[in-house]
Amino acid sequence: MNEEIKLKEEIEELSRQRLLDCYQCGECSAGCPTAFAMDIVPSHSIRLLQLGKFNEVLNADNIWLCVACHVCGERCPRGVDYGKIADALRTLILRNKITHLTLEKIDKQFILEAPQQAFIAAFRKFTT
Amino acid sequence: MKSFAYYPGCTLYTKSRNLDICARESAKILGVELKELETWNCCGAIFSTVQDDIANQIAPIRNLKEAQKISNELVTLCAACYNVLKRSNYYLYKEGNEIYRRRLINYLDEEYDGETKVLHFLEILKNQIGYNAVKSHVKKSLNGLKVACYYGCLMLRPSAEINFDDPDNPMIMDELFLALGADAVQFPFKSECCGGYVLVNRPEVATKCAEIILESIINAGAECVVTTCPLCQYNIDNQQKYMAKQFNLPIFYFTQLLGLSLGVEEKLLNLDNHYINPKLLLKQKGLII
Amino acid sequence: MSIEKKRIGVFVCHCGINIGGTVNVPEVVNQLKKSTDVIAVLDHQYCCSDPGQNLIKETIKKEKLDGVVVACCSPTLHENTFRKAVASVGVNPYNCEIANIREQCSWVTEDKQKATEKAIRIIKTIIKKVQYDEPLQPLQVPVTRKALVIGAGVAGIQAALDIANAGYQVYLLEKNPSIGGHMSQLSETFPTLDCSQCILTPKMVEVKQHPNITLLTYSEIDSVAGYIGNFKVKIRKKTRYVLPIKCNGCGDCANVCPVLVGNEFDGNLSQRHAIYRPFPQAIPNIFTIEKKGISPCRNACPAGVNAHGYIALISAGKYQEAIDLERQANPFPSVCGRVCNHPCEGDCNRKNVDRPIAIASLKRFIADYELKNGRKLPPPVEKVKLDKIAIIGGGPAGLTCAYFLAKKGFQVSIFESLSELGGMLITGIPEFRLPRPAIKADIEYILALGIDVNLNKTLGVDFTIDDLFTNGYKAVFIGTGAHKSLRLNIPGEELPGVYPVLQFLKEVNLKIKDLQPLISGKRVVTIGGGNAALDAARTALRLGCKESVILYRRSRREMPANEWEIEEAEKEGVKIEYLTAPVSIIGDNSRVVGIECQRMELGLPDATGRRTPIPIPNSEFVINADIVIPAVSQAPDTTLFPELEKTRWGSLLVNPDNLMTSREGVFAGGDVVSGPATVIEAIAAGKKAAESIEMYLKGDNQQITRPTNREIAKFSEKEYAKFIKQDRVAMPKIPTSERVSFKEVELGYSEADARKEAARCLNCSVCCECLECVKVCQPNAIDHNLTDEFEELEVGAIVLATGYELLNKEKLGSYGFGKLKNVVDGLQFERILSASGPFMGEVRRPSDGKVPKRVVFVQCAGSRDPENAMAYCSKICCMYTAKQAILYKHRVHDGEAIIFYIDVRTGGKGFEEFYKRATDEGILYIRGKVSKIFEKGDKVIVWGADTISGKKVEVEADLVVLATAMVPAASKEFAQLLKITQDEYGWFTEAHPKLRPVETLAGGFFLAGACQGPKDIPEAVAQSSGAASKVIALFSSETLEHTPIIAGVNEDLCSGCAVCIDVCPYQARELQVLEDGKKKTVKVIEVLCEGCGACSSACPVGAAQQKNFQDKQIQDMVKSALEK
Repeated sequence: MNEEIKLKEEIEELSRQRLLDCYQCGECSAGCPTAFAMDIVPSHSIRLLQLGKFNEVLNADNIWLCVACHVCGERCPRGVDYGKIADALRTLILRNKITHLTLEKIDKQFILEAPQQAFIAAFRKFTT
Repeated sequence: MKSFAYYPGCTLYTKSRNLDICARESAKILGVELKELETWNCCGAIFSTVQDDIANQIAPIRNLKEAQKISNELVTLCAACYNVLKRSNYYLYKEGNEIYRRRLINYLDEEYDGETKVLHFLEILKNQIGYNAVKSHVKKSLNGLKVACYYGCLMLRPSAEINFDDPDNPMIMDELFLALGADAVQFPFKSECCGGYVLVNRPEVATKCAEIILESIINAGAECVVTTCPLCQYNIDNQQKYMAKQFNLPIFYFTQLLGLSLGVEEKLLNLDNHYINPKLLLKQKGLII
Repeated sequence: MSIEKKRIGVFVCHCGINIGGTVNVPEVVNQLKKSTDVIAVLDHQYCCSDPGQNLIKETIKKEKLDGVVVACCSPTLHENTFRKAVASVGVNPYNCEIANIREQCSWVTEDKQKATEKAIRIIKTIIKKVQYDEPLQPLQVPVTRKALVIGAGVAGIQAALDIANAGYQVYLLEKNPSIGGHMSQLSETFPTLDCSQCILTPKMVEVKQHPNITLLTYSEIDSVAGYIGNFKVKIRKKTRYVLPIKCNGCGDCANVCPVLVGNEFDGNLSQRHAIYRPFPQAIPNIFTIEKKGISPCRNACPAGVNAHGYIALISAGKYQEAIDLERQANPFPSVCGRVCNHPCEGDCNRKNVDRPIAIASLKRFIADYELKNGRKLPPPVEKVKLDKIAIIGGGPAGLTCAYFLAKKGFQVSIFESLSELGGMLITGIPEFRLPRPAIKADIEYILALGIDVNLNKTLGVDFTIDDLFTNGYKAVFIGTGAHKSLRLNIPGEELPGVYPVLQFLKEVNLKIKDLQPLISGKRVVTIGGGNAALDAARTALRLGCKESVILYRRSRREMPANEWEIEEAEKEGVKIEYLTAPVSIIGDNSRVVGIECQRMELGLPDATGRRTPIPIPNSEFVINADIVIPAVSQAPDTTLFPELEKTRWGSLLVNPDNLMTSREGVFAGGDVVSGPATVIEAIAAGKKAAESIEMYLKGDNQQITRPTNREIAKFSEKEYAKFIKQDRVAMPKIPTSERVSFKEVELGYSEADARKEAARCLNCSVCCECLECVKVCQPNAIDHNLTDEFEELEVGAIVLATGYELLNKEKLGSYGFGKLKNVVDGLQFERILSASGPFMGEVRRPSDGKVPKRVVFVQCAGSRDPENAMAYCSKICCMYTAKQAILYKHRVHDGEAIIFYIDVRTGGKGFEEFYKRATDEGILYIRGKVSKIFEKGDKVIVWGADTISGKKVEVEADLVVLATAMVPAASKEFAQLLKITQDEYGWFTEAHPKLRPVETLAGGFFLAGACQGPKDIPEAVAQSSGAASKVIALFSSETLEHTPIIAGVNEDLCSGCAVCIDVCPYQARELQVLEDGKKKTVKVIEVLCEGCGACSSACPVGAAQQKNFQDKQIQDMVKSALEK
């Protein structure tokens, strides 16, 4: 239990978001541009965190699909920004030296074409 | 001749040369100088919202400090750089937490006071030069060209931190293109996300995002799109390759069309650096020969 | 001052642990016992309880106390309790004071030590106060037993009826034309689904018929003075321009009104006329005209032509009425429709949307239309006036003057030196711009009034002004124009081939000479930038010249000619050399061969605001020319009247107020006075002269004042943005290839064109004052000159029932900023459902009138959203959305209704059952807030979520209904006017959230309905009855007690300086002269004094003293508060 409380506090500290501010209206999921591809939509993620089911969320795919566009936070009636929560969740994982993305996975031709910005951002968000 | 400190950022030095060059050339014509920082480093391309993630704040803050050697107003073009630089400043100096600020300063060679004002080139055009003045320099009016001004997310959100334009209906670029004589087409996806860096780990998702945006642009009857962001440009231009529907929409940087209408010579526009060839459209509109 | 010591007792209350938990009460008691100022100190768990009160009473008796301090909670709670208690045992209640050691002590700290010390200080301070307190008696104030209810929605109506039924007079005030409020807009009401109108209108009728209720509709509060029981309220009764006693509500006026504007009663989903009645059951059942100042077009016209009026009439297809209206101000429709420089279009507000209305072209249309369809000339006007008036000069000014005088029945004679009437119109303006028939048409009409015309009569040659007077003319108007071409004053101007512009145009226009042979094949250069220059250059082209060039010394921007004329000239092939001035005309053996020119650059602006041209040194060059037409300017030939005074420009000098020249009875106007100007200015002058002459003959010489000091109507940037862009209808013209003849270039609008163009008018001032309504009103109830009236009411109580509005959709950015046609708000959908609504009860959508097959309802649109809109729950939305969905399903059986919600809140009788019914009817509830709404083709896409299944949901809808938040209707300004407090959202704040929900902290003001917070109908009605009962209770006694804690004056000290009179916010002080008749002092009007203390602090000599707050008293209190 204490473990869970510690984790909750850590997430709130890193993201500067208060999980219990969310009253589950779902507007974040409604506006999220990548929600169509998510296994767990943002509002559900937050709900699971409120319930202390951290592992379900940390193992979920959605945190690697968040594009940090902040539409969720922009429109949230309670001022909760899931983009920032997702950032915190990624950080928790990456700080445990579990990387999500490796250079080998990326297509070489693509590396030649795409703008640096894409890679720097992706490596910032997806690698240890 | 008013001069501003200018931060190009890494992508503008390589893949998006034209975004940079067209801006410098246009600025010259409009009588302002973009003075590039003597030394600068990559801003990090994406802002880290994680509170204790000081490491990722050092680079942007260093650039902000460096700018003060030239001016307290630092101009950027790349939406990502704008987002990162402006938010680092905001995060550490407006709402910032003293502990983290101090920790950050330890990493810097010298104190930084948070006084550098981060401006986007569009803000210079609108507020410092003025769109009427821009209009008076137009050599080739974009009359009859239906342009969709696509802003993406990085310029607009979180609006409390960025405070650039209305996050639901930004107009600053639309107003510019009206001044250049173009017809600024209105569409509901101006500020939706193009899929961003998810392009790297989940290209199919990013492509879908881009497709939805192009769909709404086409429905609005636009003939081309202008952006401020290299990643947006790539996602909605290059990814057309992988889309079921053939949009054939040319995607410009706003500075390319600005330059074109202010009379910057064609080769500097670098119109070959596109997946969808924009030349046919421009020829057809009599904007290039 | 020294007074004998009071016997003071102190009673310290524990208030359970509220005080006792923090303040060490026994310690307080011990400390106070040491004080010499007190006789007895006791404490009690609850002083306010009966035993507590008894303790106080007993002690008073036992210790013979005459002063009491109770140390307890705030005086707002129990001061009254204890004062009554001490009074019951003979102590003056005003010698009992509260020492607040709860709110100001125990509740604000946890530090027991500090709390205890502070408590002691507070109590000691109050002991000092009591020491000096005088025994006082409350003042008795009479009560005006009449009530004012502000807002006549269902809440206001209910309150008014309840009070009236109790037998008291009620004024019911409503700012709109009818009572009924939002409830009259609703279709059916939840949860019973009974028809809103059906249950409301009986109450509305009852209000109207009630002998005790005075209705003040279409009225606003101007000011409120006084205090509970005795208010003075000033009311502004906005004029309806309709006399209520006469209007019978027949509606004939609305049927003929040509103006259409958005109908706010239908949420702007339909249109209404400028004269309107909000809805058929309106009470009172009379019409109202909406006016917003004067339309800019009408204001801009020098002749005061009511352009807005005839444009509106054209849009309604009333062409005859349109031209009749035009002729009331201007007898030259046909001419002005073609050549007027139309300042009206310059000021037209439509330019802020796209381009101005083509006002002149519309004027031309009605003129042409009348001619085409067999115009009837007016019968001659009977010569009711004996005076003869002479008009010298048959140009626009003279003819206009003659027209208006003839209409008045004067005998008018025109003397014209040419063989034709028309002046500059026929000599100066070429036929391709102004065909002769067009001029004749107008002149015919003018002469038809019966005007005597004398052609070929030249002043100074055939007659003199003296002759006219000797021949019995009583007044003379000079309108001889400006027909003298000014010289260039450069060498070579005498050469043959140099043609002064007016001579050139006159010879062509009047066909005096055939200039074709002279011009054809030649190079013609015209010098000047005015319309005359352009006319000459274009005429030359038509005479077959080889090349027609214009030299102008400034740039195009400064060119005085009309922009559209310049464009035409260029189209036709006229070359314009800007920034070029002639130096000399070069001749070779006595004919022109060229002009030596010089390039110019623009310097600083001159007096006229145009930048002055400066020659560029050695920029001289020569251009070839065979014919040179100087057209720099024209001037009046005033050698004709040597006896009259001139200006230094050689034009006639007149008194600007009445246009009279230096000679009694001789008036002048047009170019002869102004120098070369426009047709419309000449017409304006002629008209003004006619008015002046009539006055002069009446023997009344005072200046004419035109009634145009009205505010010019305009819109806000937001409003302009809302209008849909629609460019002006292009004027059909003959192709340039055909412009070799003198055929008219502009062909004129077709009827369809005209209707379309007229429909673009924004109706800036709403009512266009075409006065069609006046014509048809049988009871003569309409008077466009009425003004607002004021009335002062005396009332004893005021009930606020100002209600709510819906949050403006424009504030909801991600829901489309209110720009999406098929996204409506709750009230709009009520109208769509309503049988009397825009679609007569059929559910149709605004954009195309189609029946929507899928309707999405979005709840919490702006409610429960502290970050972006309103933090509160609007309370009624859950139920009315369910109701609307059910009604929709009833109307459209195959329709699909989807409701996005966060929570469904059904706290109310029958509400939960009603929610069940909604789901029974097959309505789909999706739990999730909508994030984005946008258009795709003719569909509206809704991006929502279903938080239960955890899916993002996209719905393609035909119509979207937003349950937008309720917001208060009353503005901040209104609240400040009444000095009523509002919460952060603007809802009026009640005196106590639980125990005094219908009262306010301002005595005499009560709250009814939604002005206090979101409410449904039953709640609003219940609260109204509550407010009414409070008013009735107040009225139940003839007098009211007024606190005696007010200001007094020490007459021995008072010097009558009257400083205090100025600072008193309640006008409660006045100067009086004492008996001895010498000394002046200030007197307090006790019932008005609220005891604010402003006077005592202002008084320089300390004569003004507040009872029981005397200077000495306060000083001692402060001392003891600061005591070590």
